[in-house]
Amino acid sequence: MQQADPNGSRPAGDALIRATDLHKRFRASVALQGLSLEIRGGEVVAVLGPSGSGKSTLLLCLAGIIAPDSGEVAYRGRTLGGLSDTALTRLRRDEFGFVFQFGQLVPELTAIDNVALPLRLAGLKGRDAEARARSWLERLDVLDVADKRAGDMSGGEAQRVAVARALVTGPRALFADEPTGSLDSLNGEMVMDLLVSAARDNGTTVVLVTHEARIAAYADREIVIRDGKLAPVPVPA
Amino acid sequence: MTSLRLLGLGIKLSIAGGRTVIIRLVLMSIGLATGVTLLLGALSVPPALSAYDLREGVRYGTVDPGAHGVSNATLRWWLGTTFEGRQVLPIAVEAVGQAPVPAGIPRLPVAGEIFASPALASLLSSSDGELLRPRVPGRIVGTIAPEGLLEPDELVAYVGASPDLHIPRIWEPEAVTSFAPADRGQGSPVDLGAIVLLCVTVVAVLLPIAMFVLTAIRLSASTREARFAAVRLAGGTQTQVRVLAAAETAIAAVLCVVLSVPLFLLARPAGNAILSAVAGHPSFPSDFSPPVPAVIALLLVVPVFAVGVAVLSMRRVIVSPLGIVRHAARVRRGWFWPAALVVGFLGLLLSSVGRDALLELSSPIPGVVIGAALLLILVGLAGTAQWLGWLGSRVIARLRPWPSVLIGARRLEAEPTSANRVVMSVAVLMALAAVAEGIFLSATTYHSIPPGVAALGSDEVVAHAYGNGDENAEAWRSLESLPGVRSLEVSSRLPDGGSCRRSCVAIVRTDGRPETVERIRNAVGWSGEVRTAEEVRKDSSSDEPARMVQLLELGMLLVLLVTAANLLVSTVDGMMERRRPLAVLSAIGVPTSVIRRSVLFQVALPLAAALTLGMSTGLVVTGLVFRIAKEPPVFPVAPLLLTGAAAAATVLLVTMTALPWVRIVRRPEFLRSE
Repeated sequence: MQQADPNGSRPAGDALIRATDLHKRFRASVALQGLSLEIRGGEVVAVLGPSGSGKSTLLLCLAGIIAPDSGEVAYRGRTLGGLSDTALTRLRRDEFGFVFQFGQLVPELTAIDNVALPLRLAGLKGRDAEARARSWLERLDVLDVADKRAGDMSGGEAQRVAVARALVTGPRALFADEPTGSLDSLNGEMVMDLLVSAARDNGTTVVLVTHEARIAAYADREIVIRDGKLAPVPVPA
Repeated sequence: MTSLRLLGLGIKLSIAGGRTVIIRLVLMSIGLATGVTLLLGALSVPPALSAYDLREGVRYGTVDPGAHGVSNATLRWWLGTTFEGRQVLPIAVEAVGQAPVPAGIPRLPVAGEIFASPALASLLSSSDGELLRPRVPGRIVGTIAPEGLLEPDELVAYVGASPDLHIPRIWEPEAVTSFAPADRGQGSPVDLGAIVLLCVTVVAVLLPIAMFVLTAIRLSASTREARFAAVRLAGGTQTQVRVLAAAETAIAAVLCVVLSVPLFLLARPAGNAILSAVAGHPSFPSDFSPPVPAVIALLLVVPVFAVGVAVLSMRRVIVSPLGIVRHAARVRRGWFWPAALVVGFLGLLLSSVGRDALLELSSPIPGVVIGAALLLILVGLAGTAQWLGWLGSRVIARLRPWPSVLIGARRLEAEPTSANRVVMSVAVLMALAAVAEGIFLSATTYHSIPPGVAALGSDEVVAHAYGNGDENAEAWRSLESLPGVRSLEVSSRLPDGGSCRRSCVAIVRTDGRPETVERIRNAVGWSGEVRTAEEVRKDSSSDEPARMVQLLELGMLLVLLVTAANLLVSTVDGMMERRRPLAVLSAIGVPTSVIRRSVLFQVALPLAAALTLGMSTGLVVTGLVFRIAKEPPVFPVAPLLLTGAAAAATVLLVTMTALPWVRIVRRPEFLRSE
């Protein structure tokens, strides 16, 4: 069995996601510079760092949403850079789940429509998709808002619906970008409890971007990024 | 801060607002200016029609019924003829005592003199007019001024009466005692009908433009509202924010006023041409002018109205320092619009049931009742089309359809006033098309060409003499010797089925050259009438229905293009406003094709609702209108389906040009919240 390295870039086990020497630049600003890491299946990894350090860019690269300028990301041994847009879309739909800080839900759709959407896209029949969506809403304690639209829910409810939508397809990997950033601490902890426990129950790998140590504490492993590079994980005093 | 200073600040903020604000301002100004130009055009129609009536009145003058024994009058013979397909009107005149002088000439011509219109003078003096000169003999001593003409290029002349004209003895002259325009009385029911038709047309054309302006006002609404929230955070009150919001519209309204006058002057020839086509005669462009007080009032009212609308549009929005709270614009009063539609139908139905009693009323009541019912139907139709689109989206969303349809239906349900509102004009357009095509088709049915006319060869000429049989036989023999005449057949039956005195008609077969026809006309002179087969066919039918259909098609195309442009702008703006949710959809694995289909669905559903409702309403109204007119109804189902398909294709094709934006708005950078 492999041992975790001091800066947290390597897990103790087989890698589900492997990033090698990632570079990404947005015009004049450098987001990632030579970043490499591995994430094992079933792991909950927190990516920490100050604002503008490149955390979200790393998450989007790992999820195949944006392509790095150089370097490569491999998921289960397959390089994402070699996949077509359609294949990447299918991969994200079938294997990944996403939770973002704002605007995760399609505003016009009700909670149940939002959660059932990935299932419908995957070809599940309407009634079956709705039944499964309903069970996830119940599991995340938001069944009472099933027929409400995002604008009619509280922030915590909307975020839990977003978690339900991210997990409903039983993804192998869940990418969460500041999932509690718009919530108060009580709602934030409730969402994290539900997200992490549901992911662990399903054996889902979680990559969690946050700048809050309190939220990172839910993770098995922490990675710190500064100026687009891995930085040593601070050791608690 | 005073309102004026605030307005100034608003203008400053608007101008500094960047590219989006400039685009919004330009679109609003163009939309408003187009609307004002159309209104100026509509205001020019009654003066143009009155001016033509006045010119006709001045030309006709006051005729004394007893031509014999008048002491002070102008004796007049109308000598109409045709030259190379154009109508030529020599008017022979002779003074009796202190004779009145027609408008446009300084005195009456004496024998051997001619006052000709500029167009005719030019034709007569050119080599092209050589074969016309025998019919207008004499020396041109002056030209007729524009006030004496009905049309700018009219071929008319006042010719001093002389034996050289060979006017038949049986032809009695009119005795004109005055060329002052006769009193034509007060407005008749026909005038009222024309005004109702004008109102309906203006509403139909202005509706899509109003929708376009509303779309432009709402462009990038969230960015604009974020700016207002910042002003509130800096200490601005809700009222001050409304004044700031009005500033942008005020700029657009001022630009509209500046643009609309030159735009109208540019479009005036086209407007005049359209009116000429509708009225069936060319008019002077200078007659196509709106009354000055109406122009001033319009140019003052539009900015005030536009600013008022901008302030009113903010009534549902509460701008707080932390952001915007918007009262949802739910379609709660949906029943009101179908009710208005039904009441309008009932109005027409009652008018058709009690048509005899109604038409006996010698007042404008029939016109007002029918006009009011039609306007109610149009207003009800516009509202019901919007409501129906929303209702359809609700029903479809409940059926849990495919994801693309679900997203589209839910979006329409959540924002019922977007595409639904834009396609209102398509519903109105389809209804008007149904009624108009029904009427024109019916008119075409009544204008079938008689078999005798249809059988005429293209090289044949019909000569019809006014005199008795012996004189005619003499005249026809002289035609046989003319160059280009091949054979001649004398008859007493006109090709259109009518009969006349013995040997009154000669069917002359020619070599087909226009000069031969003109030689025949010169030989017949004023003793008869000579028409080519083509002219006979034209007189036996009417090109008015076809002309009207062409005008209708042109108008529909313009309205469709404005509607399609409106949908394009609102679709692109809607996607830009929703770029984050769309980027999220893309991130979670929703294929671009699903998003594209949902965008198309958001246009297709309201469009289908508007087309269906518009066509059905149009057919019902057509039936009722024919019933009122006591005519057998003509339902233009096939042309209407074709029009509907063309409308749907145009709107959808233009909307499809917005689809590449889906790729832009789903870009991952829109996911970032930092």
